[in-house]
Amino acid sequence: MSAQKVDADVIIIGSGVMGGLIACQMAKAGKSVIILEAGPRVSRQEIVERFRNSPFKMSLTNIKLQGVGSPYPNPPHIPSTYGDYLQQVGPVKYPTKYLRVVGGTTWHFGSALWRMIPNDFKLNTLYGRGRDWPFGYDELESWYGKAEHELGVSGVDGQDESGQGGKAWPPRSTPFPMPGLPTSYLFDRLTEMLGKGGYNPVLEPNGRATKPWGKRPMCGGNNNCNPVCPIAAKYDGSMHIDEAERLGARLLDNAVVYRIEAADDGKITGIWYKKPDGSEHHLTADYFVLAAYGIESPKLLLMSTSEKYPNGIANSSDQVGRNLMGHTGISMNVMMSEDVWPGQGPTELLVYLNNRDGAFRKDFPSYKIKVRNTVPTADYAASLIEKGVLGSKLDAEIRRQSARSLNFAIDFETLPLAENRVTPSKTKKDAIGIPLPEIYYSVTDYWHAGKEAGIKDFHRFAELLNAEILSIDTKFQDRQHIMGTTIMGDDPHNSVVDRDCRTHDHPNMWIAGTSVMPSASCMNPTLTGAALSLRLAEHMLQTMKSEVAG
Amino acid sequence: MAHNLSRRRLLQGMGILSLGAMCNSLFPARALAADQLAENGFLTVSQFLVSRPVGPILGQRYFDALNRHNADFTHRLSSLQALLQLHNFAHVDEFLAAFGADNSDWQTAKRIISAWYTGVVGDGSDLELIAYADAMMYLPTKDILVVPTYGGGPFYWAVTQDGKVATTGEGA
Repeated sequence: MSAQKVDADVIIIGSGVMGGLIACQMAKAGKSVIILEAGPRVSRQEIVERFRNSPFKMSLTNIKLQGVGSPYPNPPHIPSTYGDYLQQVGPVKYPTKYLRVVGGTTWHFGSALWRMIPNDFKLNTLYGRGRDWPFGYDELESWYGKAEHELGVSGVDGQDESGQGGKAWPPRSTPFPMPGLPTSYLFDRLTEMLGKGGYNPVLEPNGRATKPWGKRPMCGGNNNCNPVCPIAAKYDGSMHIDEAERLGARLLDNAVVYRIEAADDGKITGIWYKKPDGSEHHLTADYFVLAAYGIESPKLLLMSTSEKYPNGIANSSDQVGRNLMGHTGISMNVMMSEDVWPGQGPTELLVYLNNRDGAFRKDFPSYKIKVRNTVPTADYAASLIEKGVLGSKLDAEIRRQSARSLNFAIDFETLPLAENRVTPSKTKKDAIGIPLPEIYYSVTDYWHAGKEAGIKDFHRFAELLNAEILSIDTKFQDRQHIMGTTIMGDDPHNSVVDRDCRTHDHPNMWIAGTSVMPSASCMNPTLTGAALSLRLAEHMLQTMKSEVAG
Repeated sequence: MAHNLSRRRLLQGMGILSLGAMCNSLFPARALAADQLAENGFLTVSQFLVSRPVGPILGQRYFDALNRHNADFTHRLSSLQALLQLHNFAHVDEFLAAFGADNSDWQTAKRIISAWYTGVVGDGSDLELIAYADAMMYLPTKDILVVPTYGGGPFYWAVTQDGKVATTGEGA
C-alpha cells in the first residue's frame, strides 16, 4: 500500500456494466471507490421522451437513419458514436455504437447474455485459428453463474446452446436465475417450419426480467430494447452504478480521463481527467481498473505516453489497440406467404446456432442466425407512401407487410488480427482536445467463406419458409460487439493482460470488459465480460489483502 | 372567455351538449384550432384523404408544419379542396384512381396523407415530428402490434391458443 495519502483505494475508469460490477464488489469489501465517467448522467424518462419525440428512429431498412437515430446525448466533450466521431481508415468500416453516459452501452443493448461454450476457449488448439484462452470454460463456469445472478438473466434451462438440438450445453452448475420468456406466434411458427430443415431453435438467455427482480418489473413487450427499455425490465449498467453509489462509491460524471500515469517501477500512480470546460484534474489511488470498453480503453492507454513508456501504458507488447474483433455480419429481408407478425414481445429471442461449433471452424467461422423481432410498421409505411401507395391500399399493405416481412441477421466470429486496430488520431481532436479514435478494420477470406455458408442458409431458410427473398445485404454489418483490443494471454510479449485481467506491465492496474477476450465466438460478449469482471474483482481483493499482509 | 361561456350556455340550452363541444368549452385552444381549420378546409380535406375522423389539435400542428416545410401549401390546399369539391368523390380511392402522381393535387394529397400516417413532416434530414403514438400508420395493425415503448403488458404476446396470434386487446 502507498504510504502517501491517496484520493481512493480504487479508481475505476468507466461506468458501464463492467465498471459498475467491480465498483459494487470493491465497495462491499469496504474499499473507497471513485468511478469516472466521460459522459453525463441520463434518466430513463428523458431518454424515452427523446426517443418518442425524435423524427429519426432506428430503422432496419434505412441504416443511414441510425446515424441520427440515437436519443442519447451528444455534447461536444464526448461526441456520439452515432455521428462521425470514429475515424474509419481501413478497407472495412467498423461503425460500432457505444454510449458514453453513466451506465454505459447496456442502456441500448438487446440484452442477449450468452455463455461461450468450452470449444470457444480452444480455437487455436482445436481448429488452428486465432488464439486459445489461457484457461478453459471450467475456470469461468462459476463466474458465469454469478454474473447471471448479478445481471438478472432469464433463460431456458436444459437447452443445447451449441445449436445441435442435443443435451443441455454448455454445462452449468447453477440454473438460470429467472425462467425464459414466453414465445410469440412468430417464434412458434418459425420453429415449426425451419425445424423441417434440421434447424434447431434456441431461445437466447437475456437480461429481461420474467418476474419482479430487484427493482425491475417483468418485461412488458415494449419492443424497444434498443434504444431504451421504457420500464427498466431490461438490465442495464446504471443499475450497478446506482448500487455502487448506495454502497458508498463516488461517481464523477462528465470526467473524461485522458492520461494514466505510472512510476518507473511500473506502478500506476494517478490519472488526469478533463471536465467539459476543459479544466484538468488529477486523482490518485492505490489500485486502478480500466473499464472504458474496447475503443476508449486502448485509446487512453496509447495516449498515455511518457519517456519511460513511449508506447503508452500497458503496451510493452505493442498489442494495445490491436486484435480488434467484432461480429461482422450480413442480413436478409424476406416476404412470407403467410402472416407471422414479427414485433410481438421483445425485439429478439429466437436464434439458430447449427453452425456454432464443429470441425468446419478450420475453414469458416462460427455463426449465429437471429430473427429480428422489431415492430416493422414505421419502416414500411414511409416507403409505401413514398411509392405512392395511398388510400385503402395503404392500410392493407401496411398490414400485409407488417405481418409478413421478416429480417434474418447473421453474426460471424472474427479472429484477432494484429492489423485490425484502434489508435488515437494524430490529426483529429474533440472539443476538449482529446484525439478521436481511429479504426483500421478488415476481414479475411475466412470471413468470406463464412459469408458463403451463411448465404446458403439464407436460401434454405427462404425455401423452408416458402418466402420470397427481397434482399441480402453482405456489406459487413457491424454488430457493436467490441473485443480483443487489450487482449489476454500468459505471454507478456503478445498480450496486454494476464489470466486475471491484470496488466502485464503494471501490478496495480486491471482491465475489465470484453476487450480482454482472446476469442470472440459468435455470441454477444456482455455476459463473458461480466463474468471476467467479477473474477477480476475477486483477484483484486485478494491482491489487496496479500499486499496489506505483506 | 365570454365567448366560450356564451357558446356553452347556448349549447346546453339546445340540449345538444356534445363531447367535442364540451372539450371546446373546456379547452379554448381546441376551439380556436377548430375554427381556424374549419375556415381553410384542412380538416375536411384530411378526413377525406385518410378516411377517418381527424382531431383539430393535431390537425392544426400538421397544418402549421406543412406550411413551414412547403411555402405554397395554403395555395396547394385550396387547389386540392376545389378539385375535391368539384368532383364530389365518395371515397379517397376514387380520387386516387382518377388522378396520378403527375397531378399536383395528387402530390398535395400525398403530402397530407404522409403527415397524418407517419406523424412526420419534411424531407431528407429536415424532418419534424408532430405525432408518434398517434401516427395513423399504427392503426392498421393496432389489434396485433404495439407502438414501441407502449407495450401491451407482461407477456401479452404469449400464445395462449395453439396456432393463434396473440392480440394486444385493443380490438381491430
